[in-house]
Amino acid sequence: MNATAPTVFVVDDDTSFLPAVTRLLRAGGYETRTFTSAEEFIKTPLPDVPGCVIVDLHMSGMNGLALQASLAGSGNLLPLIFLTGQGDIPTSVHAIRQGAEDFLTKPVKREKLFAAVQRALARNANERQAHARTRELRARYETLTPREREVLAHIVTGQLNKQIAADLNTTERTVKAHRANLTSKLQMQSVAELVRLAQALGIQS
Amino acid sequence: MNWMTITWPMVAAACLTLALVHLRIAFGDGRRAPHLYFSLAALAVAAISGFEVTLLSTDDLARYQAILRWAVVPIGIMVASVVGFVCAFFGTGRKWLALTAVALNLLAQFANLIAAVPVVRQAVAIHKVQTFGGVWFTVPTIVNGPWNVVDLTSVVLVVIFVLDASINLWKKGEQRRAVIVGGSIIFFFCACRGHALLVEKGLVQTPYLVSFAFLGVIIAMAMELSADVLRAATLARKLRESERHTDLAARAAALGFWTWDINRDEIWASANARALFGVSADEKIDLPRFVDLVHPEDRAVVRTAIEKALSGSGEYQADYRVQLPDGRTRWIAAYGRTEFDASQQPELMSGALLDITQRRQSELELQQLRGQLTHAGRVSVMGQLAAAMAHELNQPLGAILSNAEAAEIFLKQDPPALGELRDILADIRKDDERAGEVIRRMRSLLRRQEMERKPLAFNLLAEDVVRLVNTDATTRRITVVLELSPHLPLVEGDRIHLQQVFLNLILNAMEAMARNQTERRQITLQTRHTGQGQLEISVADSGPGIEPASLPRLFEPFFTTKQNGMGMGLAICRRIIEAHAGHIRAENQPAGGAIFYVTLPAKTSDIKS
Repeated sequence: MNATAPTVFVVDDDTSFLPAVTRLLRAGGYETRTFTSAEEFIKTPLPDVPGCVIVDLHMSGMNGLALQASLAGSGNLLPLIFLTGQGDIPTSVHAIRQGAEDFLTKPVKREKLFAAVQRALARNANERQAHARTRELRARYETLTPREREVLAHIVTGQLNKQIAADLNTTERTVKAHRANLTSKLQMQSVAELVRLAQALGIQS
Repeated sequence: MNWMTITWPMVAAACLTLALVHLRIAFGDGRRAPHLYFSLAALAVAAISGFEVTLLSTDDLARYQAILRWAVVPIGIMVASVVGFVCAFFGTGRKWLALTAVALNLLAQFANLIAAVPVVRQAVAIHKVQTFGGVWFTVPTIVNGPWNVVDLTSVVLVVIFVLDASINLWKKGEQRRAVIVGGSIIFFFCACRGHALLVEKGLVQTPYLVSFAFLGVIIAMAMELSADVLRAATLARKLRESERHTDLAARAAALGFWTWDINRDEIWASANARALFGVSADEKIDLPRFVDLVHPEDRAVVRTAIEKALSGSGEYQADYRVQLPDGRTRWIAAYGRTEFDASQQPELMSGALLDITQRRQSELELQQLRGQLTHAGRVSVMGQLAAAMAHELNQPLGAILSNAEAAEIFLKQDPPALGELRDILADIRKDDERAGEVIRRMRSLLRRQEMERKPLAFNLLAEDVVRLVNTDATTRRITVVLELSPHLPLVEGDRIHLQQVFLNLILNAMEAMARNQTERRQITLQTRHTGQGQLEISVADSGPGIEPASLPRLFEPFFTTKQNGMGMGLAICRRIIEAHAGHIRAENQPAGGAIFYVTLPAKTSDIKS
């Protein structure tokens, strides 16, 4: 878990609602940052902190759905909660399908808002963790020599040392040595772990 | 009494019975010729049987000769009937062969009958022979006359005729009938003739068995005939059943049936069909009369449909109205099919009629309803405005709720965050005022008050309208772009009325783009100062544009390019704008899509900085 406190980013062009909801979130103990338009939110470089975004659906200029598409395109992991003065079913279905955490309408009850924020933050934390784990595995994998990577690719298909040796045109002893090296570099013992790694990093034989 | 005096009469009785049964059928309905021939043949065999049994017990030569002479009459009839039966029943025999064989046979028998001394066969002596059972019977000594050759030839011709007819029948696929009837006729004729020869040559000492042989033929014929009768009965039952079903279906669906004999130009119509047209049961209908019954406006349609059915595929389909004698009109859907003769000339057309008046009526009602709905949609611009106002109301209400809930939390803190609470209260007051303003606007809208001239910020007007349609635009995946010139002077006018004009233009633009591909759905609103104290707003869409021919009439009342439009929207817009001393016009953009311009005079005394 990251040591930084999670931040709720609020994007709304309504000059009275934005401070009000921000105030409520602050009272609830959340770090907040406010933006009066989607364009402003996208332009601003964000710190790498856990968090989520509360966004108004209808805004002059870029609207909430466009912001969602833009974030998805740039690989941003922050979950989105839509908060709108008037939502219709097709739009909400569309937003949820595109991965929105929730779709709330104004006025929103505190319990509902906090619950949605809590879920979004938990999801973000999970995703960040998974992301970090993958990054770490990738780093370990990068330390392998090309030959070791070849051996690994064969191991995860379930081949025995003898078969790998035949395939790579070498001796079983050499394969064993490579295997010992790569398992110590990756800090993994079982084939099952190696297979999971291969899946996470998308390694194919 | 011995077995001989019993057997022959039994043959006769059997034949008589069969003859009577088929005589009854022959005089009923259906294919009568085969039954008549059969009855005749069976009667003849019964007679032959009678003659034979008499011959067996005759002791007097003169009497024997007389009976033999007369026995040729039923034999002749028998041969002729069998040939006639095969002709009628098989339908494959050669007529000339049949006629020749029968003529020769009758000629021989007739000659034998009238000559002083029999010319075919003559019994010159008789003697008694004993057979099993100790029965005595008479056997003749026969001398062939000069006409015997003719008789024999005729029998050979009969056999050839039947053989030929059977082979042809076999080729046509009716193997069973060919074998049973044809085969048995040939077999028994040959057997009978051969046996008679043997008896007459004195080689076998048995009675004549002509009637027995012919009984075989009769039985074979009877078997096939009754199979036919059975089949006909089954068919009749099925036909009655299907007729009942058709009748039921026709009555349930109020179907009428008709057949048009094209060459004679006669139209037969079922009672139902006549009722649909309001034509009496005895009136004769031909094509001109039929066309006369059709509603004048639909006659061309009907004529075209008939011509098509007569020349092309033969399928006939037309929906038309008929004028009933009582002045009402009725919608008819007609379906039919043409039958062509061998030279591809239309011969017959037949089909069904269906009363679709009700269907047509509900279609019409549906169309009207749709029109009314569209009208309601147009009227509901007001309703939409109100919904948008409600949306606007949710902003301050949402803010108030959030502020209040935040305040609750701040109050619980120790010490309470009084600074925060003060800010919150100020904000709540502000939001409350804002909500009140929204409600006031809504009320004024619903009251439909008179035009109210006030100084208005042109850009703000545009922004407000765009906010109203934003929800709708998002749902329809339309991008609304606002390009506002800064520092515009104010205009004087009625906010609600002007908003309604802009709203109308934007909603029209949205509708125009309804069929656009998603990647190009954009409405651009521009405001500018044109100089000469005029402000202009333009609403441009990326739709298909306006037909050049429609451009000059676009703002006329009741002129519409929409399928179900009222033609009032733009007319009202022009009225409103002209009441503001302004001007409205439409053009097509060079790059595609329509663009509307609204020009209003700037408020001269006040320039917004």
